[in-house]
This record gives sequence, structure tokens and C-alpha cells, in this order.
Amino acid sequence: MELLAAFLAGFAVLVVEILGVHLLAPWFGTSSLVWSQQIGLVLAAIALGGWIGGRLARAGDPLRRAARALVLGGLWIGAAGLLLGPFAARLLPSGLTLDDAAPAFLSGSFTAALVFFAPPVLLLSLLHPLLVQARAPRRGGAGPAAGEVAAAGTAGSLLGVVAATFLAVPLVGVRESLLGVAAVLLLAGGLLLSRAAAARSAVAACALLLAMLVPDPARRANLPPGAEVLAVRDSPYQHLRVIEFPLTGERWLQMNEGLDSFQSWWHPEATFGGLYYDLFALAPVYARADRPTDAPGGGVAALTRRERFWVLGFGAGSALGPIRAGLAGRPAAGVGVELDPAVLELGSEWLPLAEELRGAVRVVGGQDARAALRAAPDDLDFVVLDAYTRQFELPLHLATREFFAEIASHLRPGGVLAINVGTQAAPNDPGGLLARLGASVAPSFAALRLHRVPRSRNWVLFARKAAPLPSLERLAELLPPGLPLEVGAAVLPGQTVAGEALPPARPFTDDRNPVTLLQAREWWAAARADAVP
Amino acid sequence: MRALLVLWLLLLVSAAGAAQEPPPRDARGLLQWHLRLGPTDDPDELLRRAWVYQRAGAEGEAWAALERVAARRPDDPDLLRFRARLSAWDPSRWRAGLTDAERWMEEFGPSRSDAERGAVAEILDELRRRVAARDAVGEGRRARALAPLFALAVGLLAVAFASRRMRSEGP
Repeated sequence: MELLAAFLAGFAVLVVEILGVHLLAPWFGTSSLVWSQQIGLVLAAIALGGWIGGRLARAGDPLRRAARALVLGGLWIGAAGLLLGPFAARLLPSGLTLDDAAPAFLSGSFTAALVFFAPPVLLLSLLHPLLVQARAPRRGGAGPAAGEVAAAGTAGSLLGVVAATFLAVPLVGVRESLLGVAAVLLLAGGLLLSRAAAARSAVAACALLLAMLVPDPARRANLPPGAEVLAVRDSPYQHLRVIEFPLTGERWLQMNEGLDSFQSWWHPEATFGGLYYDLFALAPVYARADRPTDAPGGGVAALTRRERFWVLGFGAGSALGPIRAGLAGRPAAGVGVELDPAVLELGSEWLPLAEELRGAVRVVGGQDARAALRAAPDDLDFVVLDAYTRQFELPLHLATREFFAEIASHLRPGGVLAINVGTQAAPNDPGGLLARLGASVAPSFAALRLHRVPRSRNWVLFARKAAPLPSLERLAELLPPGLPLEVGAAVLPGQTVAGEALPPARPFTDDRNPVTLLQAREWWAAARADAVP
Repeated sequence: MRALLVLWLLLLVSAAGAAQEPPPRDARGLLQWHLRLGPTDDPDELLRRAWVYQRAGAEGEAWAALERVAARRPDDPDLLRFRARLSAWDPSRWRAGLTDAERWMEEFGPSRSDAERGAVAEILDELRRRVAARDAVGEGRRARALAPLFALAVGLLAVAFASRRMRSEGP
């Protein structure tokens, strides 16, 4: 019985640790800092629980105390599943932009985790010393008992990790799984205590299971004004939601905390939304700036060749329409790489690509961009990098000098790399994201240029291999007719920073990459800059 | 002298033509329009240019034009209106934009057209909502800063409780 209790406690602690972050995701996101904080808080609760449990073990009746801790832990986890949403909603005022809410994510998620996850983990961590104390007399001492209890607890934790990631999140549901685990703990604790307690626990467990029928507030968490929710899904990577604005017909695929931000954009009739995707129309324009006569590989062959491109971070394919417009009717074949298959599924259901775009791209799902790129040919015309993790974090391994060198090795001379960068940093800040990203890209490319996306915090960085980027005068000739005004605005000098104008900065490397901390610091600094004094 | 006069007349005609041409409708048209622009100090022409840039989202060029207008006609109602619109796109200028929009409403709102008043009212609403939400996050920050203290207090209470139980019940 002690080993089963230890197994359940170990299982529940890891489920709470992992599903806790998923439960926080619709409100506060799942940035690296939120994950680190959750792991730290859980470890602190385990340490404190173990220490207190050791003291309680000497006070007598350890099995009964362990059973009570199981029941209380179960109740608290149930409360977390039901009450975290309304609690989190009170920590974040409605109508916030992502920029404004960013500073509240870490403190808000910490407060919520402190209230809902640390106490049950602490209660469940009482069990280990209590169970060792209860088992030791029958096993010939504390050593054998401790070994057995530790083994059972660790086996439970192992199962907890696997079940949370591969069963709970994709198949059962985050809140439903937490309520289910709470019910199991209640039942187990009740059975260990007494028949009467078991009956009471069974009633409480049934109530928790019935509570699954209550609508999940996470569905409408941080919903932008005027939007309606079409679909919600949790994937092992993120919390996903498709919303629609009935007035305009726009649809957004949002991840995690949502707010005014989105992972993909779609409109039934429009190609351009006045968003950063529009600037990807420039990638084929820049790549063909000096073709067919005066570039390496130019000539007649260049006129008839299908242009080849890759989109790393495909999402629902919002970049494809602008890319096609930039190609201005030239034949092309693309590959889109998307890490999260759930994004592709939601995209094809709710943000479907137009027929002519579907035929122009082969989509690879479930693969990391860097790993997938190794299979790319070495004569690509352009690569679009639009891969973000956890809403606004550049993935570490996709923002390094080595990775950009790998991309360059897959581009033909004159080929172009386009990167979407969301940042609050000014380009002239030598320690800022743009300067450091520029320093990471520059060694593998001949020319580099940043265009600020109109009415946005985003920039798109363009880099060209072994060839210069065209002047404004040349662009006025090269741009195909019909591109939106915003694309023209972005290339004007007021929104453009040439690579040579960036201050000298240290590049991000595979070995040393502070991009996550840098981004978090920039967002907080920007939010503080105009906050209440 | 005659050649200079002809050149001056040609420049005048071309500038007048540029001033009267319809605003650009796509990215290429915007670049071509931008590249055709000549130097000017005329506040009305600068405001017209600022409007084209603003409509396209060329904030840098629009601000540059407005700063030159501000040096000549600091109380121009269109200057205030355009500045408020541009400020709404830049979170670091929200408060300044709010001041401009409120001033426009107070000083010029009653005498301007319904369309202009409606546009500024929209900007005003948007800025008020955003500034209020930002202030709410700032105020909430103080409350959330107490969370670690709360954690510490709970931990200390738990330790004190466990120690007391151990002393009272004994081994």
C-alpha cells in the first residue's frame, strides 16, 4: 500500500509540474522563463515538503498522515483545475496588447503557480518520509524502505511525464487530466484512511469528474475585442486557438496567451493584411534584383527556371500569398516546414490555403526547421524564417551564426534570407536583439538590410548571399504592381536600416546564446518606459 | 537668364503637377512618388506629404514632415490630428498622442467636419483604452510583487507548524 501511495504521489507531482504550465499557457504563455519558474517552484515545494514530512514522520501514525496528504493534495489539484482560470483572469486586465501584458506574464504565472501548484506538490512531497517511516519496521530499517519508496515514487514520476506529454495534452485535455488525477488521489487517500473516508472521497471525486462539464474559461482567455472562438486545441508544444472577427471576416490562429498577437492570419479574399507577412513579397524581388544577365547563374536558364524557396515556420501558410505576389507570376516550388502538426491540422481546417497556393508548396509537418533544412537543395532562391516559439521567443538554435551559415549554404549566389523579428529594441542598440541578430547573420551574407513593418513592433531582416541588395531607385522598377502601400512604406529610408548602419555587436552562437533573456529584458524595459510613474 | 527662367517655370509646373496627382495606390507607386518629391518648406505641401506617408504606414517619413510643419505652424489642427494618429501606432508615444487628440477635440473639434471629428474620437478612444490597460498592469505589478513575500510567509508558517507538532507529540 505504501508503494502504491508513493507511486501515485510521484505520478501526480510530475503531472502537476507539466500540466501546470499548460494550464497557465492561455493566460501567461509558456516562455522559457515561465517553465524555469515552474520547475523551480515545484522543486522548492518538494524540498520543503520532504523536510516537513520528515518532521511529521517522527510525530507518529505516518500512514494516516500520508493518506490525509493525498486527500488534501487531490482536493488542491482539483481546485487548480477549476479555479486557476478565473484567478488568472483577475491578474490580467482585459484589452491588453501583448507588449503591455508581457511584464505581467512572469509575476502573474508565479503568483498563480504559487497559489495552485506549490501547495499540492508540497503536500504530496510529505509522503516520501512518512511512507519510509511507516515501511521501515517491516523492511528491516530505513535504508531498504527508503530505496523502495524512492523507486516507486520515481517510477510514478516517469509515468507522469509520459502520460502528461503524450496522453493528457493531446488526447484527454489539460484540465480534464488534472481533475482526473485529483479524483484518483482523493480515492486512494480515502481508501487508506477508512471506509467512511473512502465514501466521502468517492463523492468528492465524482463531483470533480462532473465539474469537467463546466465550460473551460481558457477557451476565451485574453480574447481580443470583437472576436469569436472557432476552435481550441492543446498540443505538446502549445495552446492553440482559432478566432474569427465577424465584422471583417479575418481569422487568426493564436498560440498560448493570444491577446492581440497571432501565429497565422487568414482572410477569405485578401492576400495582404497590412502585417509583417506582406514584406515576404520582397524576398523573391530581392533574390531576382540583378537577374537574369548580371548575376552569377544568370542568363536564359535563369529566365525559365522554377524559383525554389523554403519557409521555415510555415504555420497556416500566411506567408505564401505575399510570396506569390512577389514572384509576379514566375513559376516557383516551395517547401514549408512546421514543427507542430496541430498547427497544420487547425490551419487546413480553419485557415485553408487557396487552391493556387496549395499546389505551389509541399508542407513538412512535425519536423524542426534546422533539422529539416539539411535535406534542402543548395540552390534555393530564398528562405523565409518565421519560426517563433512560445509566442515571442526566437528559438535559440534558429538564431545563431552557425544556423545562418547553414541557410547560406543552401542558397544560390544572390539568394535571399528573410527573417521576421518581433522586438522592442532599437536597431542602434549594440546590445539589442536587432544588432546582435545582424551580427549573427552578416558573416555568411554579402548584404543585410532591416525593414520596419508599418504600424508594428516587427522588423523583417533581409540578407543576400554574394550580391548587393538593390537601391530604392532600382526597387521602384522591380516591385511588381499591386503590392500594398505598406510594402512600399517599409522600404523607404524612414523604416529601413542598412546592415552597415548597425553597431558592432556580439553574434549569437550555438555555444553562447542569451536571446531568450535578451528578449524578455527588452519587453519589460519597453513596458516600463511608458508605465505609471 | 532666359534659360534660368524657363527652368524655374518647368520646375514650378512639375511641382504643381506632383502636388495635384492622385495619391499612390500601391508600393511601386509610393516609391515612384517618393522619388519624385522635391524640396519644399510649404506647410500645406508637407502636410499633404505627411498624409500620404501616414496612409501607407511610412511613420519615419511622416514624422519628419510633421516636425517641419511644427516648426512653422505648431498649432495647426491637421498637425495635431496626424500626430495623434501616428502616436497610436507607437506604444512609447501613446501618452503624447492622447494629449494631442484631447487638445484637438477641445480646440478644433467643434469647428471641423463630422468625418474628422469621428476619426479623432476613434483615436482618442483607442489611446484611452490602451493607456488605461497599461496603467492597470503597472498597478497590478505592485500587488504581484508581494507574491514572493506570501510564499516566504507560507513556508515559514508550515515549518513553524511542523516543528510545533513534533515538539508537542514527541518521537
